[in-house]
Amino acid sequence: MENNILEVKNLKMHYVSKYETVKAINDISFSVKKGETFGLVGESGCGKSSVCKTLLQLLPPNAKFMGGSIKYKGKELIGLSNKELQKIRGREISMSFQELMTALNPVTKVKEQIYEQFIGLKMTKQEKYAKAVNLLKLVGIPSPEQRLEEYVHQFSGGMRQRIMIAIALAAQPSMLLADEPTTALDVTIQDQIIKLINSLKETLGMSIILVTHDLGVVSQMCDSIAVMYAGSIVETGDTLTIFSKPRHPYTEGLIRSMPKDDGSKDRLESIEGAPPNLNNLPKGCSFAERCKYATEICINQMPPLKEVGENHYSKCFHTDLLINSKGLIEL
Amino acid sequence: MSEYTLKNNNSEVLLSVKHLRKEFPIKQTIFDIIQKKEKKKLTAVDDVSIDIYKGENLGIVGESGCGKTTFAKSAIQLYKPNSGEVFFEGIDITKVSRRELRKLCRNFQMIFQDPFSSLNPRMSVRDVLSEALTVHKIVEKSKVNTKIANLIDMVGLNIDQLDRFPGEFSGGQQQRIGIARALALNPKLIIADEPVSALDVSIQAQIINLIKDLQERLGITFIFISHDLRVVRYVTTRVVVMYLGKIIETADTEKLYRNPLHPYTKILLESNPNLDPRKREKKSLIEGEPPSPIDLPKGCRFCKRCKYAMDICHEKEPDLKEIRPGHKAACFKL
Amino acid sequence: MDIRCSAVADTSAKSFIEKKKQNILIDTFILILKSKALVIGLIIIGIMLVLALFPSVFTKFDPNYIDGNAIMLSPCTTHWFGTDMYGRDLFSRVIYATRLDLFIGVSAMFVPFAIGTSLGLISGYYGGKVDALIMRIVDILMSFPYMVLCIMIVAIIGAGIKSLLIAMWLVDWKNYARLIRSEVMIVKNSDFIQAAKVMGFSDKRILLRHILPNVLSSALVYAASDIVVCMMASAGLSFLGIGVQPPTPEWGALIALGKTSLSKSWWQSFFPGIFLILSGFGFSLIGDGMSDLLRTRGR
Repeated sequence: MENNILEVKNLKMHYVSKYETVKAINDISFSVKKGETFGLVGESGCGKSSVCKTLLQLLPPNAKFMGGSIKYKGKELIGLSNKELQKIRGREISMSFQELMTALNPVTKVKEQIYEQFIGLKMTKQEKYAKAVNLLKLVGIPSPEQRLEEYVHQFSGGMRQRIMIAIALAAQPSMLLADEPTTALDVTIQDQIIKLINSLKETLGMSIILVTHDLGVVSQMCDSIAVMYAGSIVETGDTLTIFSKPRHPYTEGLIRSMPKDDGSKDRLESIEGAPPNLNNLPKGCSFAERCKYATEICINQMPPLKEVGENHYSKCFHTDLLINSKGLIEL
Repeated sequence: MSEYTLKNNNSEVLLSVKHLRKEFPIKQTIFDIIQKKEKKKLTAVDDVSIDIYKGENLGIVGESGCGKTTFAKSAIQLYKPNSGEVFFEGIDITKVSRRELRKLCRNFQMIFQDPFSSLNPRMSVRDVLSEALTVHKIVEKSKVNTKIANLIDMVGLNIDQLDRFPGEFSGGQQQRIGIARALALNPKLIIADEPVSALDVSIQAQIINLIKDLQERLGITFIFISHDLRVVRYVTTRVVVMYLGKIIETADTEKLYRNPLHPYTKILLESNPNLDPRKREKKSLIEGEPPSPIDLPKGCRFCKRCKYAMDICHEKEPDLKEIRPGHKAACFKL
Repeated sequence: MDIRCSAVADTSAKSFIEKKKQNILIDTFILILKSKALVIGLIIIGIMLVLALFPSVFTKFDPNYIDGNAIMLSPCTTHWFGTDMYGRDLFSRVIYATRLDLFIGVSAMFVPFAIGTSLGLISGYYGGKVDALIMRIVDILMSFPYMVLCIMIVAIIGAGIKSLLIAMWLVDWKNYARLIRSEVMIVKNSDFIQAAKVMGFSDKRILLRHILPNVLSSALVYAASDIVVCMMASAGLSFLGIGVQPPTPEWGALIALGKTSLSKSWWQSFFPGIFLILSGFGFSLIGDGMSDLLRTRGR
């Protein structure tokens, strides 16, 4: 497809250590269109952050790449040398991290941290300064000239997230990986950041991969999403479709376990049990153990990713049973 | 909803907090002392008064640093409040001796945000529960095991997991252990401090259901502190909104969510990301961030961020007054 | 509020109590076997202990018997480690010294361990003036080198094993106090201590049942390596002639005795030195293994 900026096919990555093999990413495929926000949704430990790190190949030494391909603008990223990757990291695909306190350097000025992104671009000092001021303006930090000279600890949580985004955007990437950008923030600040990223996407024409567990944030930001469970994508499609008509039991359970916005006090439908350990995945469907629709086939065989609607896929044997399932919203 | 309203009006007060204030001193650096700067303090809870009724589930919402946890902890004397009174069954618990307090403490228990750090990593589930039961002699020695089995069953854990250590459980299970520990002392009030925010969505629902069930079965009063507005709406019967150490609005949950009065409450509720992807706003409703609780500005705490602010808002601090029956708010505009 | 319970739950609860004790013993044993460092360390120290407890089994010579016909013999089949300038059998002297050295090492470690741990607990938990007082004393002790302080104290109260131990007790606790204090400061802010306070537990119970088990591991690991330091220090002081007095055999004193004729009879200092190093090695391995073990258990 022409307008896909990123195509991931059959990606597999395991963390191998002396004692165990953690199957963090098990055969996942997805594509991100130009200018869209793509959400990777799932619970902690489902492998969503690992996907992000694999895309930029920022993996620890014990991570073993087990196959698949990552095509960015038609170019294969797997197997590139470190030097070639460095041209892509930051310039083409940039990442903003969740832990703001550790991801930003506490002992250098904000200015220096932004300038670092310009290394390799032939720019004069004045140009760099002007660009940095513009960046801070872009992410909505008031009096940028003064704040450029400050250190990270002088900023509040929301402002830090803005700086993080400014640094990620410094080299004008075509794609931003945002790892839980609003998780540590308060509701009102979260709202500001959501709106900031949404508007930046439009003005800069970027594509964004958003990693989050928060369905509210997903609904406000993402055009399409992939729901991950135990290292696999179990359902993918556009946000509206999945929120209104989920076709995978896990997605359905996830959506139903949220309290509704209408104030109803009906008992929440929780998913019993806990996700399986990634170092000891079952033979069949990894959700079978907790699934109310599960039959024998689910325990013995891995379900295929089936097309259940236009651009809507679900990795389940029993998608037919979910044809009338109710989502969070009604169309 | 109306059923709860009635209950609140009729039922008796369990804990009555009057003019509670808690300040934390800010450490001075050598330079501050040399320059003879005034000693600064952070006012976490500023003159808060509220009655907590028997059997209700009181939600406290607000952004981080608004003092919701400090308020709850100083109410049960986990932090020594700087001033104010807290009455429990007619006794002012801010004035009793330490020994007395320790006995009274049994009636107030807490559930913590981070389930792992709230459990002693070197004590098995059995140790945790039996300690609680034996120290306060809740049951006879011979019945401790029976009671433990009961508690474990009540929170939905399996009895063969009793001798495991906290590290061997998942987050949801750890939270269940924390709840069992709180229940062991037959408390009258449980403070749940963000009990589900460290848990995954699918596990959250399990714990929320458990808390609701327990409240219905045992009639324990809850103070439910959370920043998740959806969860608070689902769980609680009455809500208190706090902003920088003050209560700015309080009402029955549904009343407050359907008809918020204070401008801050309105913004807070609308900032909560809508679950409908079709309803996306372009602009954020509120600019800026809460001011620091050190050196608060004169006047209403919210005036700098409030679009309705008038002259008086910068001069005087509004009192919490009853706008409609059972619905109080602190704003001059009302 | 009080909920009735079935008899089934009761019996199964009881059966689990018995199971628990067995499991912990077996688990610990398996864990110990898994750590190579710990096993090797335990073997070395085990052999040392056997030597220390039953020295007469291994040697027929009296360590203090002076044999005029066997002065400064090099190692041979009768005198495995040779003899010293008085004709005493070095092997039996080294073996007999093991008991004293292990005793000094362990007791010089244990008392400061106990004092330092309790002071560290109190200091870290209560803070304020108590903390300030204890920590200032620690600071004073810290500002002198370890050996210099020991020599000073021994010089005041007179040489001998007793004063050697007293000197080490007075000086060594500071490390434990500091270590424990810093750990307590971290642990006391964790939620489970808050929970214990909410449960209305007494300070004593919180300190001993909840804080101590969680801060002890680092002190235990340090203690194992501290034994080495203590043994070295006592050997050093004896070497300087202010510790164990002759003719009592002690490794440090033996090395000191041999140093005058090192070029003629290397064995006099060599074999006690080897034993000193071996025991140090053994204890450090135990310390190392223990830190691994305690870390995995904590998780």
